[in-house]
Amino acid sequence: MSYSTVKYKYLLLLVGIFIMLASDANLLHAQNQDSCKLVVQGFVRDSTSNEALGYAHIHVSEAPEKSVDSDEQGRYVLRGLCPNKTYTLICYHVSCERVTLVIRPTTNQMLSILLPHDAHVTSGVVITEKAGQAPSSQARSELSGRALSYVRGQSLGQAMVGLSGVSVLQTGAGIAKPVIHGMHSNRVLILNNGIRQEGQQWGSEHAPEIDPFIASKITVIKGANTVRYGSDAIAGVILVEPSNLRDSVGFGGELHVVGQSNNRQGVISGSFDQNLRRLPALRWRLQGTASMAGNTRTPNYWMKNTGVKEYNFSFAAAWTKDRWDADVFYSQFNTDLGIFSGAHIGNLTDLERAFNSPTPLDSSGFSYTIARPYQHVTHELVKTRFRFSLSNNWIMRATYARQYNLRYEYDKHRPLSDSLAGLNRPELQYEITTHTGDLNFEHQMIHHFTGSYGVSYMRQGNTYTGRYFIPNYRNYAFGVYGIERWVKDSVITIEAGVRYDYRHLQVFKWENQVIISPVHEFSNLSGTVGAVFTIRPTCILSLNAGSAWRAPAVNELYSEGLHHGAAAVEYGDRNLKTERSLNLIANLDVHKHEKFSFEWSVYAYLIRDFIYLRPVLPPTLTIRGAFPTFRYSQADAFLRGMDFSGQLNVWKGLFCDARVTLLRAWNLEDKKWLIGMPADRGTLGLRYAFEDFKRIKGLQFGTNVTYVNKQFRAPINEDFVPPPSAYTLLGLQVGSSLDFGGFAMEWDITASNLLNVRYRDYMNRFRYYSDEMGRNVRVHVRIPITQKSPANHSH
Amino acid sequence: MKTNFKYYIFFAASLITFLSACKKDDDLVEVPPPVNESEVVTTLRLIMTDSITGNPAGTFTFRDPDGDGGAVPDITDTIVLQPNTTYLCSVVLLNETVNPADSISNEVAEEANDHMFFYHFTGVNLTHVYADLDTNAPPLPIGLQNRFRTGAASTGTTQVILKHQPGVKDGSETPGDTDIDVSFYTRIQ
Repeated sequence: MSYSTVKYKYLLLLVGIFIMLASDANLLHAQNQDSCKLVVQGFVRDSTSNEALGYAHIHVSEAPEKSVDSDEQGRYVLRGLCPNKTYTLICYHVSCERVTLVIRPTTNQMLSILLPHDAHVTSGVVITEKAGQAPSSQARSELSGRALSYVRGQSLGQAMVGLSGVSVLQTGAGIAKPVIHGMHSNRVLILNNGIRQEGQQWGSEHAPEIDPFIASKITVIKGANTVRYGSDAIAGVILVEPSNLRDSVGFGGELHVVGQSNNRQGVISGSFDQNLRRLPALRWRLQGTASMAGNTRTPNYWMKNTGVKEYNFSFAAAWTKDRWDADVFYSQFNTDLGIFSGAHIGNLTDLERAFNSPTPLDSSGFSYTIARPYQHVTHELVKTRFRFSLSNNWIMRATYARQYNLRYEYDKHRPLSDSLAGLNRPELQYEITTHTGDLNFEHQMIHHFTGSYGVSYMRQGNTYTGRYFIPNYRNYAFGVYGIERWVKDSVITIEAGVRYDYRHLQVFKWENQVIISPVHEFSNLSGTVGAVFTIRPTCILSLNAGSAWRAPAVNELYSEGLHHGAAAVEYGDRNLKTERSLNLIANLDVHKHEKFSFEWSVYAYLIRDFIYLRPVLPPTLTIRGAFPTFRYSQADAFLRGMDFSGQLNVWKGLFCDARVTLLRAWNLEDKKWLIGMPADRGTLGLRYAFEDFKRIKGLQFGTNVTYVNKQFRAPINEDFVPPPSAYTLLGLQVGSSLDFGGFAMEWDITASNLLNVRYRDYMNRFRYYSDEMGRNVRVHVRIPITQKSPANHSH
Repeated sequence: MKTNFKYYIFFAASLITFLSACKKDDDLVEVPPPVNESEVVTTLRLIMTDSITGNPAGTFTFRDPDGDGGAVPDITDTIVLQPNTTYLCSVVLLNETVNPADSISNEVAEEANDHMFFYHFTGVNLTHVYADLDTNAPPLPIGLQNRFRTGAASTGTTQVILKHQPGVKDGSETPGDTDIDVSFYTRIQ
């Protein structure tokens, strides 16, 4: 980008702001009775058991004639609300105490009202769902509430292991990335607060650069998802979503403190929200996290140099007016990640020696020190979004975001030359800068249709210094899409969408003392069709068929070099074609109140030209000996599997939970299993929900057993060692909230690998060198910062 | 008008956030740095001299000019020696990706207390003794200078290994990382 285009960008922004200001002045008095057509609907539920509460009364203080009762299934519909008018809802139910909520609807809204047994505990927990949209036919699972509380303090990848259909790919103890249906890295898209995370996601040893404390909810949408979110999302999308900014006058916030026994980790994270009485349009939040962990301990030894330091912060502000709102979000993520020094090897002989040694050759005790080898990663995101209600039914959203990702990799040893060693420079450095722009038009229900249309644009540049692994490049992407959903009496929803994408990649690379700059262009159509059948209110079947594609990533085209941790030489292939996937997924969701519920999804992917690392002969001879050699190749692949999660109320407060994940991944051309696919796994848990006792509310005690099978379905003789054996782990969770007179503190204690079992996991790249983490006890406390304002006072 | 003033404050704040984040647009750099400044060992040379006459008896080279991966090594000499002779063997390591070539063996000599060479012979009648010592207490061999003694005519391989053993050098091959592992075909005739 030249200087003039930089100027142009700022000019555009200024024009945008001017239009915002001007349009607001015109619209300030536009609101009248005609525009009072908003619908707020949802379910009233018990906050502890999540059970639907039928015949609850919802009283609207400002407009008593609009008050309604919930039906037998707990469903309520409030009609004729005016946009941006403040309403005070008082919700009564016989078995719970009443709750008061203040809402300020801007669009048609889904709003679940959670009633606590005792309104002192939490005065009206509210979950706002996506505004007025029909249900999607795609299978999704969600991490929120208590389940999210149990994993607070863990990295994003590790936190998601509990979700149905999700597993984790690890590089040692500190680096974890989520795997959906056996696919990860470039095939999984992560949306951080609505923005495509563009960092080092191509590398399997690069964890997502996101602070999980930003999220109040982590959602996984499984299956091909390119239409709405852009190419690459072959296996699915992970949405990391913060809670909405405060929508009533006052301030609030929360403080999390986490401690872990195994690596003596301490985490502190806090956020503060405010909506000023004198400036009700402005809502803002400041959030930050600091974390420090030392060496991880396996049952028998400490893993040297496995500490992690992290400090992150974010700032969000929104300005909400009658017909538009604008928001800005800034976040910064910084981490120093120690790499287990026993995994840094010179050649294959070293690897064999490391593998055969019962304890690592590089031993240590406990320490917080992070020495070489280590990584330093910084990720910065700035997002501005502008939303405008074009009419009662149409909303426009314009989003611009810039991401800057910096990565330093320090090798185990400094250079021998004193002059180089004195500089203490990283041996490898990447900087990736990405600009994304999206324009989206969404319409609410018009004659049974809801839909969304948009265009998106991305520009990305990468530069490196130090050792060559991937070249400098520039990437441009452009996409245009449309999705419509047809809803009939909440019984059937049919959706269809189509998208066109174009990608342009130009690489700058030295080859035989000349710079080459080849261009790769990719373009494709993708589509999705799906249906949701509400067979009964308690039984929903959804079917989805989607096509998706992914352009080969730059590492697959151009990587060239030795992978130190993996003792392998990898070569890209610059003639790779686009990878195309056809995906079918069926999901059955049965929810018989609290007694019995389950979610079962079955899926299949037929992927043409699936890109994978194929071992090639002869091995590469280097000055450090011969290394096995892999080349990025393409073959048709077929993946199928199922995810099941269910819960049964056995007796009184006793619940039984079960989760099963199965996957078969077959290379159709080579007629063998695909390498690096997660093994079958299952979890069985028992938990007891106690009755409230004095100050202790919602106390739960649970234990679970996780079984992970040996990966028998791996190609033979392509790995240095066969896949590790099956293992069984025992875990424990206990937690509740404590009520100190209107101030509710929450706590939980979880323990993993309680029996201190020695095991290795196939999905950990360091399985050659060390065992997995031993017993770990984690304590988490959440302290709310609340303000008692008259509007929030519940009695 | 008062409300407008508030907008300006808000948008000014947004703009500052926005601009401050844009200060560093490194994606403007299109051309990668031409010189790869990281350190690589491209070349291993064994320089043999007859221990009695002092005459040069040959230089045997392994050379991979572009480092790990890329093109295959362009030279892998066969070591040819005479039977029943003692040779002085000195080792030279070079980084030939830079011009002039950088002598890595000097750096190894400087950090001799953390490095050690090992020599293994298979199928060939050849024995080896170290001819240098580091400053560890007690001193341990380095292996940059050696004495090779040939036996009867035979063929096989000579394996040269350099271990980097910072803080853990004990004269054995087990600890540390392998920096070099090269095998030469060897013929005594």
